[in-house]
Amino acid sequence: MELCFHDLKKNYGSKQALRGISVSLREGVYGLLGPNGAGKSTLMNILTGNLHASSGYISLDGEDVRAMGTRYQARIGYLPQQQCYYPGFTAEQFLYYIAALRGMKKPDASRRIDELLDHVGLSDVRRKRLSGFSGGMRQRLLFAQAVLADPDILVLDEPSAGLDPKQRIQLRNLVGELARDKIVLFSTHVVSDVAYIGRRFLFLSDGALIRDGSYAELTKPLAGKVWELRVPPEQLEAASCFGTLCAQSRAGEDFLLRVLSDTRPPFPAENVTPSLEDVYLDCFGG
Amino acid sequence: MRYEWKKLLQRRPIRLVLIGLFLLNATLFYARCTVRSGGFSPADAAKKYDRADLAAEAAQLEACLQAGGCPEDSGLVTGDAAAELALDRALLAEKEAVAQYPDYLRSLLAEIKARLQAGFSGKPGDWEYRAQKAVLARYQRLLPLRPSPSFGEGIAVFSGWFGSDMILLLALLTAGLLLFPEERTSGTLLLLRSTRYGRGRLFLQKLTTMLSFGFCALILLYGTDAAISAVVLGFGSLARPIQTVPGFLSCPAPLTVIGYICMAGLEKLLWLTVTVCAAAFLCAWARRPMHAVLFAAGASLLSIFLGSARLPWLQCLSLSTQSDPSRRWSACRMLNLFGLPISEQTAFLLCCGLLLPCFLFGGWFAFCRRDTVTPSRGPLSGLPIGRHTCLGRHEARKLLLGSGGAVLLLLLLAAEYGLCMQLPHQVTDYERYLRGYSAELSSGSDEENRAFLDAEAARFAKLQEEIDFYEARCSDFSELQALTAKQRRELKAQPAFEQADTQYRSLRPGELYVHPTAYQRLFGPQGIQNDLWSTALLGLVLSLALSPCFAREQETGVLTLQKTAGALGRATRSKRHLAAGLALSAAIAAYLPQMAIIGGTYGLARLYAPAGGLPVFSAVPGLRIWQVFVVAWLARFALSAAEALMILALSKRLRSTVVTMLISMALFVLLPILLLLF
Repeated sequence: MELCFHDLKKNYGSKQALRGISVSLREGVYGLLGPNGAGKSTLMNILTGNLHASSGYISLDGEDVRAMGTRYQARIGYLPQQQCYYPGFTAEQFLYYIAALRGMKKPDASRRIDELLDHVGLSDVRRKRLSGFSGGMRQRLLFAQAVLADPDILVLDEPSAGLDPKQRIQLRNLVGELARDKIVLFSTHVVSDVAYIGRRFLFLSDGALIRDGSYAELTKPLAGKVWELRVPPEQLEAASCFGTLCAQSRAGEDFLLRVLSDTRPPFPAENVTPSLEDVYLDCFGG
Repeated sequence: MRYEWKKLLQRRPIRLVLIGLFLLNATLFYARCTVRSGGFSPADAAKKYDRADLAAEAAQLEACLQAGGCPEDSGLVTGDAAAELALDRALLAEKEAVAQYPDYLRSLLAEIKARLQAGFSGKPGDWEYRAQKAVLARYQRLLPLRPSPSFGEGIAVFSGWFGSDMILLLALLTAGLLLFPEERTSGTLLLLRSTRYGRGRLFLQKLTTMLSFGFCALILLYGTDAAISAVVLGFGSLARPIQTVPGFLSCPAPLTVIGYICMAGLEKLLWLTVTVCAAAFLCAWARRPMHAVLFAAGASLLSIFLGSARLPWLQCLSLSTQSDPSRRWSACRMLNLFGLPISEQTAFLLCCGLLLPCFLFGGWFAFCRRDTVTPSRGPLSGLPIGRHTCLGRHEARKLLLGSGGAVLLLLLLAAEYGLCMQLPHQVTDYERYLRGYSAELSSGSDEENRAFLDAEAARFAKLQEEIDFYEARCSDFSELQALTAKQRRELKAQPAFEQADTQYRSLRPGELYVHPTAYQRLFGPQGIQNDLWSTALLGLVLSLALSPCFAREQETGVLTLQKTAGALGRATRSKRHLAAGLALSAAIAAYLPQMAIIGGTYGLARLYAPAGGLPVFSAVPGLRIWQVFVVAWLARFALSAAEALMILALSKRLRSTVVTMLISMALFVLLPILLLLF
């Protein structure tokens, strides 16, 4: 299976939200990273058919998805950033409704709904109204609806929003499991959510694809440029201004800083292995 | 408050609706001033009022009409001699009434004194006695008044126009919906409740915004009415007594026209304040816009019910009664306040003083004290419903349960039944006589029927002769009554006979005589009025049930999931089919009860007969009666379906439940009610 974006552009008046995105995706998880306003949601909306591109097109296995029509729609699962649900529906009713939209048969839908509610930990509250759900519960339910019809392409926009750390890990593991035979496009601000499971990472900035590669490919250029410093409190300010500050924590009386710099900082420093977060900050600043 | 105003006017569709309502009011009021009813319009009256030769013209017109017809005269204001005569007579009567005012007042005072002396108002210490004394005192102040005739129709039409009140109420409901339940459903209430100055201040800001909005709307609507009335009809001298205005002859206050306008204006402002607080109260309690509209509809019905109650205090508590200053000032009525006779004006102030704090406190409590978020415990959530993959059934559930379509249909049925029960459906003596004649004329040949009619006419003539004979010879009234009891009893059937006779004799070849009562009730003027009420109720139900159809998908975000699933087309088709089904069911619920009750009471006779045989169907001679029913029902279904489609289109286009609801109500509820005013 191959999903390709061919010079995709989107304009809102004079503003260019997407500036010619061209990329080819196969099975696996693809992290879509970038600051607010980079064009991630625009790209996802075009991919899911909720928005029309100004120019360019998307193809699936060589065929233009616009020509495919409902055959393409049937292969997409989408978890939008905004939580969409009917407050008066129960979790079970909502999933059955989604199954009806997807044209699933009742026996398949029943089996799949039971399975998914169990997977996302909502079996106990399946008959409870969604208006009584917490944000995290709704998010898990929305993930369940995205994978309900076992789509080939899964588009997840901020799927871990509202989840506690344990749930985020569970979600990450679930996505990693599903991704064996699917194309998963995973948009997030929490880099660690996608760092361990991502096959490739696409960095968007101001509508353009500025970096694209695997974990190794992206972190290799930063080898030798990521430093860990231990400084006393009185040197903290000076040390913070050196290079790009990636992280800061306390280590007893001192502060432990992680900075990005081409040159060695004039403080006791140690070279460390670059992470995806370092790449993110290298692209978009600290 | 600036931000609250912004919430009201930020949406273009709302601004357009408000402008549309304003223009509608102006158009309808202008039509009220110029449309002819009974042959002439107030504008026609304005042109002729000051002419000195009205009596002479009336005599001339009467003479030539009796002679068999008047030549076409382009000088006639109405263009028709009979209508011109009716206009002249009405104007002369009006002028005479004003000129005779001192005599009228003296006779009124004499009547009150006679009642007091005769003991019809109880003994001197009784409340009724003291009330009549108070009335006497009020009218006695007017003895020096010498009003001279002056054209008063401009003021009468202006003060009697209720269309502006209806539009004002819809505008207030719009403001209430946008400031209260809309905040709750959009979730912004969660942000607003935690404020630096507290929730009470926020509530006051919203209330003040509604008040200022209502005030502006009042000025615009009534200002336009006054301007149109002044230009088209004219107000005449504003310094003349209000008693010169038609309908105010019995006004007990020594007010001038301008004085009355000022008093009425102040009372209107007070009524507006109470109504705004009531609207805020209802909207603050409602969790959803639909609930607020239903509360408002219920409050309106309660108001109408109170207004028609027999107890004066209940009438006073009715907001619909309170909205009409002319009713209070056109006569002198006293109410009993713990044994003290007080005027209706004072009672109005007291009732406003009672209602205002109740609504204020109730609204404040609902907004400030109740939880913003409550766990939703639906009664049906434990049931295994919705466990299927049929999209149509899911959409049906959303429409009938989620949007309350099923409940609304039941409420419509109940409201229609209640309305039908209000109408008189007893079989009176007149009806019994008419049925007898209808049974006679529905059988037998034409010769036999005509012979029967001639014989009956002769019999009534003979009965009348016998009564005349005894009247001429008997001076004692009770003896006369005893002597002519039998004749008078038999003559009671004469009006029914005359109707049957007129109907039979106007039959064209091929037409049959049909008992007319049920058809007259269903398709005559009363039937048309009832249909307009039913149409307004139907419009309300469709507006409430169908407004969320597409808008809700956008508001909840589920539209995105529908699009992604490629099921938007199927879901849309499903909604349209269901909406059509709901529209048809609502049409049946709206129009069938009246037909069933009237048909059951009076009988739908000879449905196969040519419709032209009935006076009410004289304009449709080519059809049979059952065909008229079919056409009428098809028209109703078509209207209902058209309304449903329009509401769906609005819901899809506007993507907001509240805005769609308001526009739909303006089109499909307000319009039929305003047409009723004509």
